[in-house]
Amino acid sequence: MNVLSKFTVQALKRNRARTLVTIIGVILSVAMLTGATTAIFSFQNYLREAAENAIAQNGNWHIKFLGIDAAFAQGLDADDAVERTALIQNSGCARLEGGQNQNRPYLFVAGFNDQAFKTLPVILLSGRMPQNSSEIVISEQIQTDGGVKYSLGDTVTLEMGYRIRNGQKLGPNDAYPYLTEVQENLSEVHEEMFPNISSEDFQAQTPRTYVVVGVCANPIFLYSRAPGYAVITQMDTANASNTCDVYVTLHSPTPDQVLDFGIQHSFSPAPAAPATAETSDGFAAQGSSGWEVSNTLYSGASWRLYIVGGILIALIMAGSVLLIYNSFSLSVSERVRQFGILASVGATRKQLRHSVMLEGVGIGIIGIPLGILAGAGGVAVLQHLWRFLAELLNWGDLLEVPALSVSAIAVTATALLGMATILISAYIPARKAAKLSAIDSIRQTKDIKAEAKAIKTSKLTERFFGWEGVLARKSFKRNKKRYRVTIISLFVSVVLFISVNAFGLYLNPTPASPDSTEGYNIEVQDTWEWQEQSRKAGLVINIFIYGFIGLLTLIAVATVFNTISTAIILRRREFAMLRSAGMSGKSFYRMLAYECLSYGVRALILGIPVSIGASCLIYERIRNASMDVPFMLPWGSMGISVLSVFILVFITMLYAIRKVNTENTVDVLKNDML
Amino acid sequence: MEILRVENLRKTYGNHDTPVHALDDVTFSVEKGEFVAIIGPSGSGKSTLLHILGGVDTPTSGKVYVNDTDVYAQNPDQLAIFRRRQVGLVYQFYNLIPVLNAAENITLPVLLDRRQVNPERLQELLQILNLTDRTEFLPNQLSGGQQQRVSLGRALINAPALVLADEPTGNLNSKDSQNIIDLLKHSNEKYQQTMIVITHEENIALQAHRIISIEDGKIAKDEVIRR
Repeated sequence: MNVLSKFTVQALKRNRARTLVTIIGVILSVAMLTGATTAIFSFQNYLREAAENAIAQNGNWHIKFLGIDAAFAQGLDADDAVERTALIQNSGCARLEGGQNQNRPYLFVAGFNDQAFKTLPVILLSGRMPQNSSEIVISEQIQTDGGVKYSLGDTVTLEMGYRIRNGQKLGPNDAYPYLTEVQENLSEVHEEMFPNISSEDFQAQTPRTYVVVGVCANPIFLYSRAPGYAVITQMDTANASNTCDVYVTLHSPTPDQVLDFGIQHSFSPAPAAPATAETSDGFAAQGSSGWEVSNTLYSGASWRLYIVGGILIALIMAGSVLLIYNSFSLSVSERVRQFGILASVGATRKQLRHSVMLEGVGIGIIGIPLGILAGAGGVAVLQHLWRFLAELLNWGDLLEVPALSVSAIAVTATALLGMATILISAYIPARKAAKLSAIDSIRQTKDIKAEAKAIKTSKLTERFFGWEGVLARKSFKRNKKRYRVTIISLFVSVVLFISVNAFGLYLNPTPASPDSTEGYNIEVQDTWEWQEQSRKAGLVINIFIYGFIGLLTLIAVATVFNTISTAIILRRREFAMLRSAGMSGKSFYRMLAYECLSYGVRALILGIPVSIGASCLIYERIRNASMDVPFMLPWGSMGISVLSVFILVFITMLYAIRKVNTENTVDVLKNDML
Repeated sequence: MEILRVENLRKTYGNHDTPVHALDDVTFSVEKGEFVAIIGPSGSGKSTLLHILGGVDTPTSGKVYVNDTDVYAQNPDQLAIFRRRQVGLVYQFYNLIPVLNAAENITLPVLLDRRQVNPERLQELLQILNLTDRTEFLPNQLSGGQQQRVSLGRALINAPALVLADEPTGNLNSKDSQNIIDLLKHSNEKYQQTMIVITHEENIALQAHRIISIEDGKIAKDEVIRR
């Protein structure tokens, strides 16, 4: 083994306690990273599968325009952004003779062009696809729901015509006056949306004869609530004046691009003369021409996921660097003298840096696999807990939350991120160790930069806390840098804790209405479902946010514990001197108690105002999201923060002092001569 | 042949208003194979001088040439390699790496150079230092005299042109002290190594070829007492 490696390994072994704390820190942060990467990749997988399913169900398209004419479709074809267009011709509507379902009295005949057969899923149950405009494939629902049986090879003559209400012609997806159960529940809203929902007439025009060549599952272009059944035929090119629905596939667009495309094409050129134009076979252009974006677009949108995931990972890494950096920094400052000796016998800066980095690699080799195991275990436990809760509280639909599975890619990403975290943490102290001049390191003269001016203490301190207070004040001022990490850790966790709690305060009220991205075909029922869904989603988000904050707090606690205890242990020589000069145990405790007080107060003086600021910002954001709630100060969490900060600092101090007190004064003083 | 030349060396501590001159315009040179003792009261600047010669401290101004190389014109890496190959430093408080055993501490400069340790050279050195049966011991398992011999071994392993010792016997009893001085004299005579030793013990100084006496950062006396 290389001599510097041995030097490193021995140093790690000699400082078992701190090495252990460092490794625990690494395990903690890697476990959190595992959770984050697993969640990200699992959700990504879920979204990809959802998108694939959606494509299989709805077809592979991005945006559809309803009730357009052939010229409009040609205009779309000319657009460079368009990859392909699939057309469905509204070939007309007929009454279903002998139909049993009074809500669905019609047959809707749709003429597919070749592209439509490729783009839109038609699931053939028996027979074959139509090869000309007099062959049809019929929906199986005609039999299962409508109770009318046609056999393959049957010749059917349909009285083609159009639906008409108050002088307006209606399209296949326009509602039929009979209300469904759900719609009745929401009849108030419904009446607002459809004020003219009175009766409608059917006007027969021309009979047409078709041959049944196949039966298919109910196709998606017809809503399940449409007042009739689908009949698919080949598009009649001779009858090009019929209106069409066009399903457009763009060249790999973002959702925003698709929306822009929709807006652009719905206003210029305007969809050809809707509502009035009557076609040659008497079937009207429908009144509700518009456009709608495919839901595949949003279910596949993982870029949002990456942003949220990236922020999460950055937060975890920042917290971890704080903790791990501190461990390395202390490990290095304990060994400054040894680095000096190595430098004086000719170790280069690079060699010294590498020695510290190697320490990081060693800790990573132990900590990262354990962290990944802990993370995987945590994920499994969380998932079981989730299932259990969901079953217990009867959240049926939340049982279908995507399954978290620790994938190879998540593990690899975690290992790399974990190693990066450790190496970033190790690099700063490594550089510091290598930069010191050899003789400064051996003498350890650069550790304390004391200037008389900086160490002045106020008379007030002396009056209230006695000379122990003055001493504490001095050592605090002298070691400002050493305790900066402690104060930053306390500060960060206080701010995070309070501001997330503030966020939680506003999150609990019922959510506002959804923002509509889907053109103007919002379903009332969907809104209702959305609210129910978002209430539960809010709960899920709450649970995850608090879990996350809990873990970050744990890291902060470990950091604070690590910094304060090691700093005190590093000062054992100073303490031994004080005791050899006759300082009593009581005075000693008073001095340290005063020191604790200054860390806590400092962290809180910084943390509380910043948290209040953050709470205000959160309030602003939430108010902008059209919610009418009064501003609330998170008093409860502020109280908890103040209390926890002092408890944590004092417990740590007591632990460290007990450790220092077990040592013999003379041994400590002698030990330093080495 | 001149192995070391020091020109107008200054080292100043403290700030602009209250400067402390640890070394004040020191100029001298040392021939190859010379055994030089540096004496002077504490705080006279002799340790600072030695550390600057060894490339572990930096001068405020002035030049140090070892084998005609301007020591402080080198970049940090070259300086590290200079310390590794050209000089051997011995300190009063040994300065061994506590986690490495005696043999590893001795061979440290070779190992840092990523070279193989020549086992014959190591054996010879261990024999001279009387440490053959202590190679596996850690520094805290060795007596003061043994630790100083390990430290001396570390200074000698690369057969450096210049061996610099800062009160090498300051922490030892008289028997161990003489033992160390004998070892220094031995490698001075046998390998023609140049020795510069700081001491405050007259009997040790008198065993050198030349005594340089330093007071208040200046050379007060520089006399050759034997050839």
